Amino acid sequence: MAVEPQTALLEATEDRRAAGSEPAGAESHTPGRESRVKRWGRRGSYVLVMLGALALWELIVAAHLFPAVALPSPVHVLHSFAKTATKGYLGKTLGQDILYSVVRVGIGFLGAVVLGVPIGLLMAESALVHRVVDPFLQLGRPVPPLAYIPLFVVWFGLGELPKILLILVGTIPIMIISTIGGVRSIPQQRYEVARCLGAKRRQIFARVTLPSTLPEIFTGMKVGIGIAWSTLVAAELIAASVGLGWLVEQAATQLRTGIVIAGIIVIGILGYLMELGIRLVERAVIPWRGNV
Amino acid sequence: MAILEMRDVTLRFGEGRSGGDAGPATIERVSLELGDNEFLTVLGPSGCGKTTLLRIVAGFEKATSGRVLFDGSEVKAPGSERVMVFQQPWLYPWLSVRKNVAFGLELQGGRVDWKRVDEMIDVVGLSGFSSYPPYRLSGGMQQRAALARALVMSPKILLMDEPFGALDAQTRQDLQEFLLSLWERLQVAVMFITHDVEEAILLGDRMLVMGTRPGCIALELPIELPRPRTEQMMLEPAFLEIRRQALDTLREVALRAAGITGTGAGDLPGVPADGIGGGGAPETGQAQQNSTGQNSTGQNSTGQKSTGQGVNEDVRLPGAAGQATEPVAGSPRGA
Ligand SMILES: Nc1ncnc2c1ncn2[C@@H]1O[C@H](COP(=O)(O)OP(=O)(O)O)[C@@H](O)[C@H]1O
Ligand SMILES: [Mg+2]
Repeated sequence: MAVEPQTALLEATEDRRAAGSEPAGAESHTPGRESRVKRWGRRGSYVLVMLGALALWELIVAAHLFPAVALPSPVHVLHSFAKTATKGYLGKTLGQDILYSVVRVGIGFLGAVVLGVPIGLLMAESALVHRVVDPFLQLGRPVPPLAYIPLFVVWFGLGELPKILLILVGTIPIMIISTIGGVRSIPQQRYEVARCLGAKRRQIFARVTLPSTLPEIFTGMKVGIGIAWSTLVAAELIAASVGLGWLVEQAATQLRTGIVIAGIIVIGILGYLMELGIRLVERAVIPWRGNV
Repeated sequence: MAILEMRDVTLRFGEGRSGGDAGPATIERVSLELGDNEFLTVLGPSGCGKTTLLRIVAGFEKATSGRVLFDGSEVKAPGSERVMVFQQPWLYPWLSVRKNVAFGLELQGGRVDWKRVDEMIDVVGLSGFSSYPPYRLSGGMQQRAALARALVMSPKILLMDEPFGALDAQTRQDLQEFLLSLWERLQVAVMFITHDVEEAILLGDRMLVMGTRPGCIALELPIELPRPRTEQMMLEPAFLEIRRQALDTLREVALRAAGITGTGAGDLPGVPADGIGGGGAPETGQAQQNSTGQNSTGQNSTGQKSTGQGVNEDVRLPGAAGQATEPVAGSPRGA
């Protein structure tokens, strides 16, 4: 299993530990969820920290520590944002850039999930499939997706296909590995209960393996969406004429630092929102997560 | 008539696959019989092979040699006529209590007899909690649900592996009484594993005490106490006598194990078969004085035992404990 320093994976490890050690200890409260007061407290503190950072930023700009072209003020960035949003930049509005980037990430990421989960399940269930696919996975994983770009451009041109495929290729390993990890971490007793009650192989797969794997699949998705975004921005830096990565790159070459920073913030917010979306789906699909 | 018959069953882990080198026997030449509707308790120190023995009957492990006959035919694979109940409930968290109980019936295909499911949930006293996810229930209630999930299959034998070992004392006592009341009502044999002497005596018609390394049957004792059994019986001479014999055997077994590992007592024979029927042998009086003696009460298990770790009946059922001792209306077996 991958040892990514991501909090999501750490969460998953904790879930698994809870599953293994004391399922009988579960009581009427749900330890996986914080109370409403606590949650709002946490959100409040996030807002405070952001406001503090903005104030510090403004202070640094006011002190003229850096030239304005290197570090424009927050207000200037807001201006750039508004201008890019309304009038556009280099013929493309911010809305178009967002739309293109979101669609590319969305398709590439969903493709990675839709392909990666079954591949992971097959690899976990069949030693033969594992033996065939794993070498490619191990070889491919350390390669940064960017390294594939020249090849993909040769193969697929400069259109949307190479970008989406790049995101898919960048994101699929984490989906496969999370799924395999999810299957491998299923406590033996979950299977034995089913077998005792007369379950056949296929029934066990559908009724025990699949639901048991869902938490790790969602963990993989939460990590994967970040990978998808970084892959996309990298792809757009090289071969694109629209998109947030392209916007940031173009603005940088013309020293429009305000737009660069605005673009970066937009990318951050979009990535965060997508992860939030995954969390909402997760809560609906596996409310039992952390309550095993 | 015997529902279960084990003849000279030996199990070595690592054998069976080609090229696998066989380790020492985990279970050696165990023979036992279990009558229809009999309640057999199996007592033994941690690691002696109790779980392995049960898993052989369940069909999860294959005996290296010997025969395991269930209801007249060889045990080859797990099946719902021999349902196992584990120390932890292992309910599926994505299913409601009701769906968990119905799990085995749904596997059979065809229409699920939901009336029967609900009756069984009622029998185990969880009717108010059908729609709850299992993790909202206390440990004791979860174990009741696990019991209902097993019983709804109408098994001919319940294989219980220290099912109350993880519960606090009060909940455990409730569930012991509850299990007995259920068993008296249902036509089911029980093979009940425990490392708690009192539990073994209080529940069983008959008790086996296992020896260790290799796992074997060191002592077989009928428990001729009247039913219904009560806590008060634990003070009766008959109870205490059975208890003494069981503890003596456990001490003997521990000494033997110590002898094998070479910490004194090396002169004791390493062949556990000697111990069969030898409960209360004269030399055990001295063994009691031995330093190993205090470690061999059968309650000295390793980390597995976690009594009193605050697993409370959190969402307590009104009168749950009382219900356990009273007759339950309506046969869940349904004609
Ligand atoms: N699948 C296995 N492979 C190898 N050894 C095992 C396996 N299962 C159990 N054992 C060993 O068999 C012995 C008996 O185990 P077990 O039946 O679990 O004992 P008990 O339930 O009495 O505590 C132990 O020494 C254990 O390590
Ligand atoms: Mg055991």
